[in-house]
Amino acid sequence: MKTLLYVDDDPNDRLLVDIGCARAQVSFLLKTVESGVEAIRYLSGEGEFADRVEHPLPDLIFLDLKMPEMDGFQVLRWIRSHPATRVTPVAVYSASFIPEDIAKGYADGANYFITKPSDLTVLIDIFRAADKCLAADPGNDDPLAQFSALALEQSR
Amino acid sequence: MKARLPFAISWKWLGQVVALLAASVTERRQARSALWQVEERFRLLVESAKGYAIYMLDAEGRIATWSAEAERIKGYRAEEIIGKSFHTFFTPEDIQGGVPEQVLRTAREEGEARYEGWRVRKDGSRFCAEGVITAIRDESGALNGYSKVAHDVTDRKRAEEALRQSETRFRTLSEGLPQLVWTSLPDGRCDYLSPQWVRYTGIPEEEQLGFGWLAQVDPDDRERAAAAWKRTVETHTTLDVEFRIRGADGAHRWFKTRAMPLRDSEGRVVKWFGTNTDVDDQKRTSELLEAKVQERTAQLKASLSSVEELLYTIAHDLRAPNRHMQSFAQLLLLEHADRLDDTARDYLSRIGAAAARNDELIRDLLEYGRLSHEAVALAPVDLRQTVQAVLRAVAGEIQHRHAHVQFGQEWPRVVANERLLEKILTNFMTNALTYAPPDREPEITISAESEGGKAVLRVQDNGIGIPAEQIGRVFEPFIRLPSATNAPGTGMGLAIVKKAAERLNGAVGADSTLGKGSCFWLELQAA
Repeated sequence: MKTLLYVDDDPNDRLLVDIGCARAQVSFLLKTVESGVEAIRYLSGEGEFADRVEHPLPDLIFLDLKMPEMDGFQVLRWIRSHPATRVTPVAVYSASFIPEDIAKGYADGANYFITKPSDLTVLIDIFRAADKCLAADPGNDDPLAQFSALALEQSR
Repeated sequence: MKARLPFAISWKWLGQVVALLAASVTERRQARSALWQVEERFRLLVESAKGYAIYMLDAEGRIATWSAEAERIKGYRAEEIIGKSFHTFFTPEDIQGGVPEQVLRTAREEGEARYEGWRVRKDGSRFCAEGVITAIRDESGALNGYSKVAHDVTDRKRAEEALRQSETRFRTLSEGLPQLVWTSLPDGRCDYLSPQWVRYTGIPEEEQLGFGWLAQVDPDDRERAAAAWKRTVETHTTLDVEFRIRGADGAHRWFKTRAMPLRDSEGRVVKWFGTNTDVDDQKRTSELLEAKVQERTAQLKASLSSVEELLYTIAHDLRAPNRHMQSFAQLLLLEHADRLDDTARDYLSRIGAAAARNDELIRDLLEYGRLSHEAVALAPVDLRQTVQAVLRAVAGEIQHRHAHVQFGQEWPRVVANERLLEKILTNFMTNALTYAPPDREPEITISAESEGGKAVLRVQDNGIGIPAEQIGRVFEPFIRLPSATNAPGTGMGLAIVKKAAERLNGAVGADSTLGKGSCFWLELQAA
């Protein structure tokens, strides 16, 4: 089974993603951490995260940007500078639609920049697309890319 | 007497010619043959030399011949003066000083005597005479008399005196000024430096004349100062340049240097007058001020960008609750609809709509703020392509509202930023589509024209129109038309359009007839 790690300090967003994934009937395992610091502990397998059966290394990471203590950009740079996660796809998942944030996200190594939707049906679509990306045979399509394009469009 | 001979050469020449002719007349007085011819020539010369009193004295200094010009200048008729001593013309002071005898002696001993001095006319008035007395001798060398050529130079004398006075005035003035004053020859070589120059630099005037002054100019400014002066002299323009001059104390102070040409009646530059004004204190104060302004501007920019950053953070934080309200209201409808009645479902959709509207407002405010500060790159843009891009974006809405869109013929290139131009045009189009009355299909005309370096883009609709008293306010933030309260939007749309137009160095406006339609226009620089 594939694993998606979702990093966000906002409990409402975590709940919405949880519900969204359930409604999308995704086949990946959703793991959630509540801060940038915790994300790094998870990824480096520290403490309770040492158990890789319970906490497997993710195949895709959804990463919030604006978090206290350690923000998404810092986490992203950490991910890209560590061998275990260097090639793991990362989708920045943020409320931001500022062009500068988008540019910085891609410069720091993000694969997608997706704006958190207000519409629950869009949220469900996003995680359904993520599920497709993680499927055994995703084909030539990149179902998440359209959401990146949407964010770019909104930032204009 | 305006005619004036170049003095050094012609007085001598004139004196000798007259003396020679006079001598022939004397010699041939005895010879008699062809005498009339020579006499006639002499007479002609004497009479035609306008402004010159030409006459002869005998060996004792008595007037022997006279002429009409001599009479005009001195006032005596021939019969009154012939035979009288030429002392008659001298002032009492000169007679007392023995000047007439001295002049005759010089002429006798050296062949000629040139003189310049005050003489007395018959009526007692004085005039300034310049002239030459030449001794006339026969072949054996015996003195026969003297020829005399005199010229009234009173006017010139007065002019010289006036010049001397004006020179004195200039010196007094130039030496009294706080500025350093100088003059230069037409070719730019300095020929006078006021004592202030000498005092300020501590270098004697003679070392600084010509182009010597350049040595006192700060080495960093020297080339520029010399070039500016060269250009001024060559083009006969006015000099206005600032450079530093080294003072006697070794300090280099800033001076504002100005010079203007003095021209003669034919427009030729005969002299340059220049001043150097010490602007060192001003210069340093303004430099200080400039630095202060820059510092303050940087501070303001920094605080502005930190305010902006704060605004983004706040906006981000404000958007999250909106998103959550919307999503959970939606979730309630999705998952618990069977437990809600119609009223409850209506309330929920109202909560969701309010949250959505709130989110839109925050986004518009952010957009408005960002437009004020972000860097906007301007470049030539093809209007036709922008129009096509916008039409693609609103194609769904056009179809949905059964709108008819028509186009003009001309699509000038404009100086703009593609993104902002699309934003403005999208807004115009959305308005045109939105404010159509319910009873007719929207008809929209998009056209452009260019004239006199400007290009105007117009979007004309057949919508509900804007009341005349409201039209001036539609581009203000948060202004929503009374007739449009049920239409979507935050009231920021046209304010964003106006801000975007400003960033394109353009202008926007609207013309409208209530009930007939509106025309929104954007004016830009043509590319």
